[in-house]
Amino acid sequence: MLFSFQEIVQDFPARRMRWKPPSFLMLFFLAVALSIFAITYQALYALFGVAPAPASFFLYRLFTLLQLAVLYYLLERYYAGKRLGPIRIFWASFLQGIFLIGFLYVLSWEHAPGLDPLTYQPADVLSAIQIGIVALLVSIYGLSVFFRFRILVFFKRTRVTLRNWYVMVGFMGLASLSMFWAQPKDSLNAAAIIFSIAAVSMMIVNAFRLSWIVYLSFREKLIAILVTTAYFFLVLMLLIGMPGQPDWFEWLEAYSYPVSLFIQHCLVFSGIYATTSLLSLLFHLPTTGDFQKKIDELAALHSLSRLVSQVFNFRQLVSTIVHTPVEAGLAEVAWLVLLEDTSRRPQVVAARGVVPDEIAKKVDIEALFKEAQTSKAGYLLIPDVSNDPRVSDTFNDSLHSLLVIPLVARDEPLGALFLARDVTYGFEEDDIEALRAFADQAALALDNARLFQELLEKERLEKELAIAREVQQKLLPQALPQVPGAELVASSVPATEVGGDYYDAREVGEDQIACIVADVAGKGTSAAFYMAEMQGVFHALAPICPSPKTFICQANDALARSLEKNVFISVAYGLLDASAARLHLARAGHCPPVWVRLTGEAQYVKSSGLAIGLDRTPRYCKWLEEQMLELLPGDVVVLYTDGLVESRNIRGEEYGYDRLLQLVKAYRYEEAQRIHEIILTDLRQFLEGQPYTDDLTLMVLKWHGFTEESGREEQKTVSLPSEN
Amino acid sequence: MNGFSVSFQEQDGIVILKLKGELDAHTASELEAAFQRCLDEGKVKVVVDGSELQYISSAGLGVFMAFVDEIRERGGDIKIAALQPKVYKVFDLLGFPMVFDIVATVEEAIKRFQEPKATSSEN
Repeated sequence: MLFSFQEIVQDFPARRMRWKPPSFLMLFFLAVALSIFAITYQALYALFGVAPAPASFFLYRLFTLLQLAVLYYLLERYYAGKRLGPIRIFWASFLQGIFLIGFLYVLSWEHAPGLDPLTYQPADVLSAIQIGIVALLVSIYGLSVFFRFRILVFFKRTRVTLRNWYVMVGFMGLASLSMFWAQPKDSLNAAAIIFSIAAVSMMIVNAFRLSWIVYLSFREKLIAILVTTAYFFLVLMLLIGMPGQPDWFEWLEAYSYPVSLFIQHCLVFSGIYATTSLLSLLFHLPTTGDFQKKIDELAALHSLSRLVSQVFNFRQLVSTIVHTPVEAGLAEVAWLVLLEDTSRRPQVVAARGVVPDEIAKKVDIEALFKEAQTSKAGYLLIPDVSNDPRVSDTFNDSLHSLLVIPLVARDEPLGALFLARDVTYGFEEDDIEALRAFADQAALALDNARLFQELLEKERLEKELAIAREVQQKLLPQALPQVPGAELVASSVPATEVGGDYYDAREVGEDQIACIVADVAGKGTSAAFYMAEMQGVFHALAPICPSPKTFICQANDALARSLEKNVFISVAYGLLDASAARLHLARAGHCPPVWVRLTGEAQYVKSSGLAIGLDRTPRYCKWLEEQMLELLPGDVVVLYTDGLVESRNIRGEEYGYDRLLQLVKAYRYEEAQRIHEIILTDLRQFLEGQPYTDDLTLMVLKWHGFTEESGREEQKTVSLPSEN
Repeated sequence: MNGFSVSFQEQDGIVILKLKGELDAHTASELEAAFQRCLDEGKVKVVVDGSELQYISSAGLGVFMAFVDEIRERGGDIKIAALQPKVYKVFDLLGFPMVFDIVATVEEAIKRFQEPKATSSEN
């Protein structure tokens, strides 16, 4: 009876078991029934005019204390979940007090309850009924006020607050019990005095729990001053009484001394609390405006600057997000849950006050996250987790109330911030608002961090591509060798930053030049990589096996080992034997070279052959053909990649093989350099400003005829027309 | 790039993969998955119906190369049928006709599977 029922069960491990609390109505009927019993008991003694025997008196007092306990439990439960503002609390207490006093006056108007001067029992039956009713009403009022004020004391509660409160209640109970046998008008015994002093001391301590004051606006404070003053005088009137006022507490003492003492203590506490509130309100009044502004600013600044500056460091950002609410004293435990990119399941990414693994094991994050996401309020609040099946009983001592705030950025759910307090009902409304504002900032910062990461990744890729392109450009020859009796011009334009085209030419023997045009399937860095391999193979193999067929066979053999399964390289390879005026050609899955004679005879040299890498068995060579062209002065041979003939204009038409052949035929009298230019110009005209969709490489060979002079001509390099 | 799909059809133990749309680097993975499914289910006689294939890029061609060896090792083959002329040109340029049986109709491809020794991919 000394401690609330709730408190007893809280320290008892069995509380986790399902215990169904009795309904309010049932409890109320029980209290009324006990009242009726008490009234009957007292009325009977008044009727017979004898003092009760000690045994029955003991039982009677026990019943009155039981009634007090029932009322205590009933009202505590009633007010536990209530969220009342301070002004309403004072105002309601004041109004109800006025009504109570009015009622007491009316009740004793005609017939004031009288007490037997010897036994201090009600003098008659009517007095017994009156006293019983007065006791019930005053008890309910006293306890209501007590628990209403408790809401204010528990505002921003900590463990210490709870402890101080229950110590106070304990002393109040002990003081009452010390006066178990006392009769009305008895003065307190030594034990009761000591316990009362202890209780009042604790009341004073608890009365300084006034943090709600700073949240009131100037106007609210003024109103609060008025109502606390009014209430203060009301309590004085109730406890001390005015001249001519009947002593209601004497009646209550006649009903049951310990009950009376307990209720008086409750009212004394409310009086003390009203006093400290009043004083504190007066002190805070002048500074309200500045103070409010300052906290708002500081809070906003604090969270904002810390989060914004950490967008560049994801790990630090998530850590700050869980640390900030805890450091601000708004929670004891916090953890951040983010949706995984692929599975879209919530995962704990940071935690403060708990081990992340522990959370996943003992809390059903997914279920809580889902409910928070779909909740209308925009967050999920569980004031007491002990009965929530989604939080394991064995979780953590510092988790009694839980708040889940979803994080949303650009209408996309990112995850949720979980906050826990070590007390039940640990989150006040304004705390929740502050935390939600903070969560919004956090979501924004997380979103920015993600975007930043993506940008970084993109930039890194671009840089990589730029490097690849640079490497690739270096792989292409800066200058082509001087060909005895012929003129050789070539260029290459990549469609993307990095292309897969390659061309080259080199001397492989006396008056022998090998030239190559190759196209690696695919684009980007991997294509550039294979292009580099192709270059290596060309420079290593061409001098050893200059014949087109052997070269391509050997190259296929060499590259087959390193090429990925779905990568292949098409190659056109020519060996110009200047002294014999012959061009040996082979193509491995490549566009057929153009061959135009001075006479106007124009054709594609279509020899058969598979692209390098398509077949990695020895039968590859079987399919490869080599063709030999007997060159006459004026012959033009053009090697190119499919980027030329397959280029499409805006109407989707292909440049095509015919157009190329006709063009070369028409300009066959021109020098190689000029033909090269004409083809590129014609292609640009055809494309009408469309960009190249594929890499484009073009090599033009013009045969002039081999003479001793041209063979001995000075080696000089021809600079290439650069398209880049 | 607007859409590519592969549909499955089975006839006398021969799988017919009908390709629709444009097969390029973005959609190649779908064809890969289709071939992989054939391998996983042990169906190694595959006819590719190219009648509705609008375009093929080198990455798309790579898929055929990536699977043909394994399918042949397991006693099957990939036969390519009913290609549109412009798509055939791409196959031809790279020398695919030397590696693959490329035939005019799906029926013919099935017939070739049924009389395996009559024609072979050897040229």
